[in-house]
Amino acid sequence: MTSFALRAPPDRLRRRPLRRLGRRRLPQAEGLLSVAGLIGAPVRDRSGRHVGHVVDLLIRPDDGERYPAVTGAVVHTLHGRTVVALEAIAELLPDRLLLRETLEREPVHERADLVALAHDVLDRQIVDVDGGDVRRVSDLVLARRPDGLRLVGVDVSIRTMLRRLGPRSLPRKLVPDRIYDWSSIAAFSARGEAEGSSVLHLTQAVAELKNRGPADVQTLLDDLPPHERTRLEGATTAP
Amino acid sequence: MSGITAPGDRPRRRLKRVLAVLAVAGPGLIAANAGNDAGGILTYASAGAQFAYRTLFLMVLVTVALIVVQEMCARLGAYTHKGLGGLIREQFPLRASVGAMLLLFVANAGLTVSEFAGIGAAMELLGVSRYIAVPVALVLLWAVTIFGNYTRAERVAMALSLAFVAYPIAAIMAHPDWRTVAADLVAPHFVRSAAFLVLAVALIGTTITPYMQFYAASAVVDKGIGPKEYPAERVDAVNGAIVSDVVSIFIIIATAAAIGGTGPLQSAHQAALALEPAVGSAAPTLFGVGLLGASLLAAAVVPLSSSYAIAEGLGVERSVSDSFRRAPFFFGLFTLQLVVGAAVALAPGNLVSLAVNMQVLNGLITPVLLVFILVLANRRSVLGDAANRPLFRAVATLCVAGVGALALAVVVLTALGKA
Repeated sequence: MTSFALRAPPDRLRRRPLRRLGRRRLPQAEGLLSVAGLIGAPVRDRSGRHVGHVVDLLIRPDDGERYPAVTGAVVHTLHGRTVVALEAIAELLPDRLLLRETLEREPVHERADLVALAHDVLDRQIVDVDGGDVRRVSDLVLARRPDGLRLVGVDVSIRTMLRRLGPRSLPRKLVPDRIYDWSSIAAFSARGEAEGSSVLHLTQAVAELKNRGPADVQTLLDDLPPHERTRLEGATTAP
Repeated sequence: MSGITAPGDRPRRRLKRVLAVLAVAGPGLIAANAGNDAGGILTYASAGAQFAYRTLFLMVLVTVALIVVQEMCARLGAYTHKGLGGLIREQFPLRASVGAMLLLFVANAGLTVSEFAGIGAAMELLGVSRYIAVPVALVLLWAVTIFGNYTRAERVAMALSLAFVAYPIAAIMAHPDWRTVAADLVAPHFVRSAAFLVLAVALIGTTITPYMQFYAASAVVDKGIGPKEYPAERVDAVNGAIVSDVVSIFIIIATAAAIGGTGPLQSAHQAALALEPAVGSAAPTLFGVGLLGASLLAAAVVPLSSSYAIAEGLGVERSVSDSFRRAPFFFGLFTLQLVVGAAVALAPGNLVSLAVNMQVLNGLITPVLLVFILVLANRRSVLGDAANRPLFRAVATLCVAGVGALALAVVVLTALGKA
């Protein structure tokens, strides 16, 4: 299979101590978009012609902002996959993507600084540092802000996952208490050949673990892959 | 069947042979024996009873496929540190992965049915009605897994199932026609009948069972085996597959030598006759004890394994050490499978054919789940350089296609009312 991975897929997403977005922090505003709802949505050019469908959305997680901005989309066309930069997108609606001009093909290639939301984050596992919860990403929440479209939350509710199984026309309701603040996602830990890149993130996680009670730490350790478990155990028992 | 009542130095000679077999076969054989579940034992015995040695060649092919599949699963576990449930959820569209979870659930619920059928059949052999044995086993298994010392219970069940070490010994002492055995092992001797085809799918379903694939990947992750340790693990995976199928082949040979060609296996008592050359009149008791141990062991492990894989795929709590309140989905799914398994095994009917039918169900589901495994192991984005090489990919695709073709043939024959 030809992968359009822009970087090695993360093994797990690790969250900092829980900060769920309450109703106040994440109002059910019109400016919110569901990434799962956008995947597969039709793409039309300025003349209204159907040119393909959305395969993925791209963000740059290390852009220094609390909520990273969407930098573009991966679109599947008759001629294969192509990257559409944010500047070329006229409007991103809950159920379709409109282009400013006609589609200009830009080849998809690996970019270490970008993360493809559907490929790298959606359906991945989240390990909770404080509660020991193990969840999967059912959906990602984007918010329209004056400075662009930004990734603000991670929906982990089973209900959202079940809704994704239904027809696309089903209304997508956001359930605030199952949405985690994106800024509370501490790290990606990459696997395989890219494993080395996860060291920095692990160091952050270790620092957090030291402030936790032994029971919480044990619950978290149980959920980690063994190679990471050994390293973390050593770090948490050190004086 | 060889005589077991012979006087004189017969017992000593028999002991010598037993020791010789054990020395050659070694601990691996014992481990593999303990891994055989009720569905497996009854299906292999059925094959021996109905078609004598004619399924042996098929078993050789199935062994090749099993090696290929088990190796892929172990590799996926070692290189990704994830179970198949999680990998499927992450790598396939949501609908496809939920479909795979549902199929796994159905396959494993079917296996749980056959384990309870095994418990019922074993206890009837030991003189206890299944209407008492099955409900008691249900409560016992549930309570031990959730409240009790599961590891100790597992050891007891494993010790009971060691009774089946008697199979290879019985197979040798029954003096089968080794020339026929050898011929049927190396050259195809298929029977052109729907019954043979259905049994072939049951043999595939019980040997390359979906539960084992998910279990194999998770076991590698649990043991903490990574890419560095993988070469040794690969040897283990291949050896495990070979040894376990050698045991299966011995069950077929022992049963074929005792009751081969007498038609479909009707009862556990009939299957027990295969052990007579080794243990004489104790055969039914020994078979009953072994079947009980194997069934109890698998009746807990199979539903736990599917609950684990499905909970992993959905992203909910999953651990035997969790409390019921913390992991309601995990334990709920486990309980549901146990209850369904026990309830179906209590319905009136032949327990042996129920167990074999459940293996056919597994054989029909196996190829679908194998496609998921094959696609995962082919992907460089999943395994990097450890992804399937072209030759391995070709062999694995051939195996999956072969298993799929047989399953499809049974589905078509059933639809036409011929199976």
